Amino acid sequence: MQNILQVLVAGLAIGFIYSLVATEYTLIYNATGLVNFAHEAFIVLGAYLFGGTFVMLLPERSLVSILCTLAAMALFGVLVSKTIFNPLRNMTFATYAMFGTMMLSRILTEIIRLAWGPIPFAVKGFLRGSVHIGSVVIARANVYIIIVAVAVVVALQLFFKMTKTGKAMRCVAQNKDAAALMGINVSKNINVTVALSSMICAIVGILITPLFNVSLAMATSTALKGFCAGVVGGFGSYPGAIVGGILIGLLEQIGILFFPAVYKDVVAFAVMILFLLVRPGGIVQARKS
Amino acid sequence: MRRKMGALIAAILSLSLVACSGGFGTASALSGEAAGSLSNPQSQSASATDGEPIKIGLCIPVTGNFAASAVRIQQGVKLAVKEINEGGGLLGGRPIKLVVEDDQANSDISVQMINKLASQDVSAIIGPYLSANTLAAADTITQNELVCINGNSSVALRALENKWYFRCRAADNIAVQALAKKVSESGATKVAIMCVNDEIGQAAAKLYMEYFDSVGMPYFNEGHNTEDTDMTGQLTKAMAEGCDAWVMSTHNNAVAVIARQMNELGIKNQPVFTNPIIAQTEVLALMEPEWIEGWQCVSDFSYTDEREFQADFARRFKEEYNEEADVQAAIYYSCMTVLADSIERAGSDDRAQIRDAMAQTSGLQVPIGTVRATADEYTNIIFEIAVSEIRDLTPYIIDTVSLID
Repeated sequence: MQNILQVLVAGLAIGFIYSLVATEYTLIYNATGLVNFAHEAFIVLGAYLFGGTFVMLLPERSLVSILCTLAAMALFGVLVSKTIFNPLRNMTFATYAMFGTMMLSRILTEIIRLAWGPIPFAVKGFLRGSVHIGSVVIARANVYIIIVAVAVVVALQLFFKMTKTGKAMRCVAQNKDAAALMGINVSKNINVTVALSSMICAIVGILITPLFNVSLAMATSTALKGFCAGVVGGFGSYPGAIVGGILIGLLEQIGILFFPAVYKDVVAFAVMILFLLVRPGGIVQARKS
Repeated sequence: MRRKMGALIAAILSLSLVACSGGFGTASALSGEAAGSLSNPQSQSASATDGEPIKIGLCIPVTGNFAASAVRIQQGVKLAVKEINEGGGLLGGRPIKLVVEDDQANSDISVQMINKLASQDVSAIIGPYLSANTLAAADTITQNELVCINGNSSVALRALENKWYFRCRAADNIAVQALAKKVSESGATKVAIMCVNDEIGQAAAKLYMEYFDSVGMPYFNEGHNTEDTDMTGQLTKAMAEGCDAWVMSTHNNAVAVIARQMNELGIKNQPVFTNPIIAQTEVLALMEPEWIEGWQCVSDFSYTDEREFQADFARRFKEEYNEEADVQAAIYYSCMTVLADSIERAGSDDRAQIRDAMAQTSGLQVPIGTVRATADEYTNIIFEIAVSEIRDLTPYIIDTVSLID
């Protein structure tokens, strides 16, 4: 019983990470029609900015470092949106745009390697330790992941429903032409969307730093499974991203109890293929006009 | 206008991708920058040597998941090259020139890079870093008649019986035997075997299981993947099985995850034995002291070794790089030393003569032990290894194991 509780908690925490990843590229997809294959590099960049720059400059001030990282990634997102996403979204063939984001990922990874070096490092003392709830042990980082992920999701929903910018983003996601006709500056709106997505990537990168340490490959598996989570939940749907992420995280961990752990990665991809065959719209059956 | 802009951006990104890619060009400039304070041995030693350079290829993962190890490898090799060139070079004053190629720890690219190095008329190559890459490139090495020396440890390499390949390190069977024996002596009642799911890990797991079967020690085997970021499932299963001792053969990030989660799950005061991974400085930097206090590992080298030869190497390394000598740096410094000695005894930079000389190397002292190549033994030239214990994130040698008296 303790084993089951332990893996469920671990699955829930990693599931929320997958949900955040799925949420951030759903943002970009809904706004631009592009699948951002560079989101792994965005996550890694956020982690390196946090652990490799701001924490070093501002020791003992984790919160300030986090805020600086978010601000830096927001600016980075605006820059990338202006120079890459906005121009690419109007390309004749979507494949070109897809390759563009894949190349961006590779370029970013090499820039990170050249700027910070190839040697992984840890952010000592950041969200270390564990919490005991009865006989179940939960990593402190996992507790924060669940809390922050829920907060981000709630904040996003409030942002979309109650702010002018959020409503404009929903309009752009539904129909760009109509939104433009209504006086919404679509390009500027996309810049804000990508900035928001970059900030979420930074949050993911910061949250997984105590779990995986900061390295160039820290987000490879997470980013890929986050994509699967989005497909399973319903591509383009925010509730779907959350449901899909949690489902994938839980199924992965529960699967380990029944078959060898080396096949754990198969779970996410097998579930995604199953949904593509049986229910392509995902759990939430997202529909995009 | 927007479509043209988009096409232009796509073109620029394509060109940038090719330029940034480490797999299709010499990586010496990039590797120098990426390694930070590494010096260029050729420029410093130009005045000490004369004559046509002897080219030595270095095929390592400058980029990719194992780039951190490549930094250490280059530190070791370049220190050896610097010392050799400053000492007058080889073959009457010829300097060594390193030609570095990035194989990204990918088997296909390893084969390509070895072919490329062979076409550049290198006399020998050091690398690849991973046993799986060397296995994939074995035929290429033979076809090019290229001497290859590296620090791979897989027992499968010996089985190739490739006369062009030399392993400058104790093979896994020596390491596993040393650790498995310690597990048996620890009083443990059941051992958890947690090895990475690649060639090196699974070969080690097989050796462990064979040994434990032979001595009647119960065990539980659960692997993990190189990029696994959560080991809760594996650890809880092992705990449920009643395991009270652990053996591992894994890589950098995975062992850091295992160590942290073992600490979080309260798996403490149990004997843990690993491959040399936890003696590597960049891995120790990922750990907190309480996670791995008392863990033991096989270790080809430790900078705390008090033996005169090893301590002198550690001192020279620290003078050069202002950091402690790492296991990988010591291994590949040893590779370069063995290669240089072979070239000198061969009296030539001819590949076949170097190979014949290397196969007869005996009694040469290197930081990781004494070289004892024999004509009857393929591949293996080092038959000893140390066992270290980690105390306060520092490896201390507590035992040495040798197959040769």
